Parts: sequence; C-alpha cells; structure tokens
Amino acid sequence: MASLLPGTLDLLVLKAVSLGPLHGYGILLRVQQITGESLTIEQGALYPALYRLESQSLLDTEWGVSENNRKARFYTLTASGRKRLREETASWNQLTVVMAAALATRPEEV
Amino acid sequence: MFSRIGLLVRDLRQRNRFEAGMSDEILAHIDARAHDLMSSRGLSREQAARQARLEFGGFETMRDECRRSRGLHWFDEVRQDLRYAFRTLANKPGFTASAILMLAFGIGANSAMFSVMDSVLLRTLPVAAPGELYSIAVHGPAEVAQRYSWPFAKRVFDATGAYASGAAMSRTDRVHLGVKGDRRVETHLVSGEWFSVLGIQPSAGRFLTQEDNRTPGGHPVIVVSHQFWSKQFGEKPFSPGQTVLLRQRQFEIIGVGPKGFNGVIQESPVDVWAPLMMQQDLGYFSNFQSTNAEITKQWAPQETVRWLDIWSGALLPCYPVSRKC
Repeated sequence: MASLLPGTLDLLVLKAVSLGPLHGYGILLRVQQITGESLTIEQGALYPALYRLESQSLLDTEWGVSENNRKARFYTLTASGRKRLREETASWNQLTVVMAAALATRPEEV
Repeated sequence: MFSRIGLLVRDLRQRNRFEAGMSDEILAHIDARAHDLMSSRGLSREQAARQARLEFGGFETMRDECRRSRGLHWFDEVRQDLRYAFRTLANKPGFTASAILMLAFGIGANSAMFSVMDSVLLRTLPVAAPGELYSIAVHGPAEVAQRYSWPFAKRVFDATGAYASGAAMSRTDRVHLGVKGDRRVETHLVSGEWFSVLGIQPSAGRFLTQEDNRTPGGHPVIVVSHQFWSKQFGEKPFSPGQTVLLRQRQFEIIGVGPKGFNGVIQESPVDVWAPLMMQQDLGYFSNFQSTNAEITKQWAPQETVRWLDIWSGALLPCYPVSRKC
C-alpha cells in the first residue's frame, strides 16, 4: 500500500465522510475501501487532521455509539465542507489532466 | 475564522471535556481495530488489543498534534512558561524580593509624580471659569511683590471694581481644632467676595459675603469644605448653628463648600474658609514681608503688613502703582 501524498489527506477524509457519517476508524477503513486498498492514512495523522477540519467548520461532530458499543465521536460534512470537497475535487481533476499532459510530452513536441 | 476562535474558547473553558473526549475517541479507535484484528486474523483479545495499540503509535504525540491543530498549544506553552518562571523566582527569594521592591519604588514614584502633575497642570480648579481666574502679582523695578497689604488690596478692588471682581485671601498656620487642639485644620482667610469671584455654589448653607467682613474680630463664622464636613460630622445633614472650636474660639459653620472643591491650592486641601477680619484670632501665615509691622496693633490699616494674595476674575491691565505699595 502506497502512503498518502501530502495534501490529499484532507480531500480523502472529506470524501469519505461525504458518503455517510463515520467515526475515526471508520474513516480510515472507508478511505482504504474507496482507494481500492491502495492508499492508507497514517494513524498518527488522522485525528489531528479531523480536529483541524472541525475547527475550520468543514466537519461537524456528534457523540454516538460504535459497533462495539463504545462511546465514539462521529463526523459529518457541513455545508461548507461539501462546498470545499467540490472545489478541491475540481482542482484535483484539473491538476491531474495538466500533469498527465505534461508527463506525456514527447521529445518532438518541445 | 470566528468558528475557529469559538471552538478554541470552548475547548479552553471545557478543557477537561476536550481531553476526555480525545481519550474516548482514541480508545474507541483502538477497540474497533482490535475487534477487526480478532475477526480477520483470529487473534485473541489480549493479542489484538496489544497489536492495535502498537499500530496506533505514540499517544501523547498524537494528542499534542490534536491540541496543536486546535490552537491550544499557545496557551499551554504560556502556562508552562509562567509556571517555570514562578518556580525559578521562588527558588531565589532574595533576587525576587529586590526586583519586586525596585519595581514598586519605580511604579510608586512615577504614579506619585503623575498625580502631582495631574492635579497641578492637567486638572483645572473645579470653579466656574478656571481659565478666567487670576492671581495678581506686582512687578517692580527691584522685586516681585508676592503678598499685599489690605489697603493695597482695597485700592486694587476700587480701581477695577467696575468690570472685574477681586478678592483677597491668605493662608494660615497652626490653626488647631477642638478643645484639645490636637488636630490641625487647613484654614484660608478670605474676603467677602471670595466665593463669588470663584463662581461656586455652596452644597449646603451659604457662603461668606461682604457682610461677614466688616469689623475685625467681629465675625466668628466659617465655611467648611465638603471633605471636612464628612470627616468631622459624617452623614449628618447640615444645619445652621453647628460650631467648632478653632484656636480656642467658637466659630459657627454657616455653609459647606461644593463636593470636590478643596480650595485654590491643590496640594493643600482646605478645610475651613474664615473671614479676613478674623485674622487676629486665627493668625498670620509666615510674615515674611511684614517689615515694620506692628503685629499687636490692628492689621487692617497697616500698609506694611503684607500677607494677602489677590485674586481676580479677569485680567487686570497694568496699573502704575506707587512704590509705596
């Protein structure tokens, strides 16, 4: 499993949470799932990122009960979180198109 | 941005809840991971728990990172620095004591100086028109006269009476209150027009007038300052007929000055204003210009008894006055 590229952690977290409310471990699993087991979030980086996103009002939190009957904090996307996800997705897509084109340049094109 | 501040404030106030919440979250995470390990790899409960904890990594480091992402680290660091500072100071009591003393002296000296400057330069007298109140000085070829005789004062008043009001005052020395005479009161002797020149109103009773300044020794009445009345009689309301003993002579209090007014010399708050005519009973204030004065004789007509400050409610033009004054 490749490690996460810097800057993509927030985007993946937002995407994971957008698919349904999750607690921290659930977000970790969801990211693994949607990346087809290719990417994983480092455990030490997960919660600081979640706390940061909450303080930026992109995520909301609520206490609930996990599958194992433990008290756990669940994260959901706020309206501005949704908006940020849209924007970041758009610029990511644009970036990949540009990068792909740049990397596909053949010697005779320069 | 405000949400960030709001969240920070909430976390600071409910710090324990924040910390407990973090712990709960971490425990839930590890627990969920342990369960996964048990079901996916068939580990025992203890093995799974240990594995999950190992995988999670450093707890305190992660907690610190979480605190940092909320902005709590600033406050934590400041608090730690303060604790360290206090601990170090406490370990060196001599140094700490001398530093505190130096600060105290410095701050005390500065604020005392400011208080004096404030009262002398910055604050004006609480009278009707402080910008239009003048203390008169005479400039002669040889000397600057500072205090004047009563005949001179009367001449000044007569010369300018048409358009400016004038009044005279003198400070006194060693005026003792009461039978035991153990408490000194700051007393000013004033002419009848004094209070009207200043343009103030009594807070109770009435002020001195011309009628209270006719015959030497014949007007045992005084006006007291608000501060003096409060100190002497407390909450008791003013009523005429109240007397005090000043230098073993009975004086009736006819009025009380306005609150906050303590005379025209701000460094020495006045307690009592008495008529000029009661000078014989209350004494001179440092006779430093009474050359050839007959102290035992009636002072009023004596040109050489120079003891009065002259005040005026307007700027007097320069009058050529004979050298005799």
